[in-house]
Amino acid sequence: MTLSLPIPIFYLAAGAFALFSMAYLAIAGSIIYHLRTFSLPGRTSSYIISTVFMVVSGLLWIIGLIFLFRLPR
Amino acid sequence: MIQLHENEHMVLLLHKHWFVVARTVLGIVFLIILLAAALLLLPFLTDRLDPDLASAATGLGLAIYLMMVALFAFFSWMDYYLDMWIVTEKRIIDVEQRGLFSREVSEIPIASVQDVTVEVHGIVQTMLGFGTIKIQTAGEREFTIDEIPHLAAVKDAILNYAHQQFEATQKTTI
Repeated sequence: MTLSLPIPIFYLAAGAFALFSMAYLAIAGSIIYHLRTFSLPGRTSSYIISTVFMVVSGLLWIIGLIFLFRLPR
Repeated sequence: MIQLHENEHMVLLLHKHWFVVARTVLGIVFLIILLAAALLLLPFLTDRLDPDLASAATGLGLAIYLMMVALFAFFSWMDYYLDMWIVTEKRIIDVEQRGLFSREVSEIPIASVQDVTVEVHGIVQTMLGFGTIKIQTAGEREFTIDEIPHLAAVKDAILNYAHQQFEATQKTTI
């Protein structure tokens, strides 16, 4: 069975992924802003956790992008 | 962005007990178990689809799901980390982060502390040694420090500094 849609699934998925990425960036950016603004000076754990989160998110986003481009067009 | 006054020093910085974080971690572990269960069911759901489409869609869905779990974990950690109580020689400051873009900061002068009550409820709090400290002030206002460890030490520190500030005020009056 092949999925048949008026718009190729790649473009639908790309649009959804772009919207998801923008929302994700907005929320993650807000969290990082809060940590940078309201953490007490000299506390390094927020920097470490923020860095780990950004690296993990970045890797997952790249993986998502790879699978996105594997969708049929 | 807590500013201390001149000649004021932070004596204690209190965060909630690690068990509070562990509760959230359990939730995240549950979400990952849910994902594993979904992956086991996936071949039955996608065997009628084009294999290339199925594998790409699965990979994309997996990446998005894990990003959402990571974001939830990060948000929960931020909420835990930015909730704090700061005890100085002169004040007790309660900082409460209520999600994004909502924050409440309140403080009481330590000299106005009249009564400090320690509450430990349930087997978990008893075994792990954390609980709630309730502070009654001269203005009959109650200040609560929730789910923190080292209750006896915190209580003693607050009462000690309250006593010192009270004596200092008495000397100034005389």
